[in-house]
Amino acid sequence: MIGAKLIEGLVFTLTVGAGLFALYVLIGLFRLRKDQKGPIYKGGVGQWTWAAHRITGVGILAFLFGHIVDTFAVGFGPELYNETVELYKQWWFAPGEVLLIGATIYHAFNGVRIILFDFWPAMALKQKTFAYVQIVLTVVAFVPVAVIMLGNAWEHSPFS
Amino acid sequence: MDVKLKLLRFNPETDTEAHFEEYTVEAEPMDRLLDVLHKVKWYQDGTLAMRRSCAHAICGSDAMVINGENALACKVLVKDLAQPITVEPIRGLPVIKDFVVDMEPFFAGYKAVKPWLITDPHEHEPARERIQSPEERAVFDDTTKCILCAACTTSCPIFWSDEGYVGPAAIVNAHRFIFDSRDSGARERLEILSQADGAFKCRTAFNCTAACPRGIKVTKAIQEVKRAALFGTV
Repeated sequence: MIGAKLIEGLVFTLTVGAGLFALYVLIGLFRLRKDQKGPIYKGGVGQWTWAAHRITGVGILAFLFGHIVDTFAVGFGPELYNETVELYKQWWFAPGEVLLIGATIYHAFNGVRIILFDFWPAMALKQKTFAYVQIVLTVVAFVPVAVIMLGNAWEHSPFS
Repeated sequence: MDVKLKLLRFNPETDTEAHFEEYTVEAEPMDRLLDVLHKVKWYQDGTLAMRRSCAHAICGSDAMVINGENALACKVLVKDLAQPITVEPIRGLPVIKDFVVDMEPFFAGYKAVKPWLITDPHEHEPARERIQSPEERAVFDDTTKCILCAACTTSCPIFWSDEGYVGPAAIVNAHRFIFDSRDSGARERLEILSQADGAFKCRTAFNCTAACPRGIKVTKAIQEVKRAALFGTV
């Protein structure tokens, strides 16, 4: 079906574009004035968790546009929708999906950390501890999911 | 000992872009970076432009990016710095020459928060002193220490990309009056800081807290201002 191919192509472009856009944001975050040039500001864990928060946020938002298009396909009947979401089930799509899960988990935990600072300013005195706790929580939640998803994709790949 | 320096030079009359230049200076380990920069300026290259006044971490003129982080050149010792020592102007402000930046956008943010005592117009001028308990004073003690060196504001990633943001230093100085029991301009200031360019632009990257040469807990102060703005209570 040509409609499915079109929508599939659009979803593919948008999802890959989401990743590239997130990378572009990373570069933009540290762009300096023309009369200033220099290495990236050293900063601490706070700066890097902030940068990662923005990149994951923008990446998830950009993916959402592709997701809107694939959901839109359901309006044309189940066949078109099923054919479109087939894309997500391809073994080579799994790493992207794992990245999306990772970005979402990170953004969620880090978001909660930032909100807590707003309500309890004294927490800011122990910000490094909270940042590391948040990173550990993210890793603990992410690793099992990644192992399961990548394992599944590996079984369906032509290499296994 | 020999000290190797990499200084980011920019001369608006001849350069289109900033570039690093290398220098080697004889210095003692206990010399401050400022002393080393003086040696470059006085004995090697008189065209090096920089600001410094008191040279004792009080006036706040010589904030620079030193080995990738904001600090006062008069407050760091050569022995504590990895070589070659890279020095750049503070970021996010227009460079006039070398390490001299245009501080106007920084001071515009400072002025915007009305950093002076505002008294209640309905109250008569007090015939006696304004009494304040040690506890009331302790609430804003930390933020009275600011020397307006701009190390915090120019370490802020939000400020680099948005000159309109009032910046951490302005919020710290607003905090100093908002939480002062003798001041009655809190509502006015919180209204200013609740706007788009105010305290809520802070994304808690904590670069400011690490950069402050006076050890002010900058991010904590900003969060206290946000909270006061949110709940309308001081």
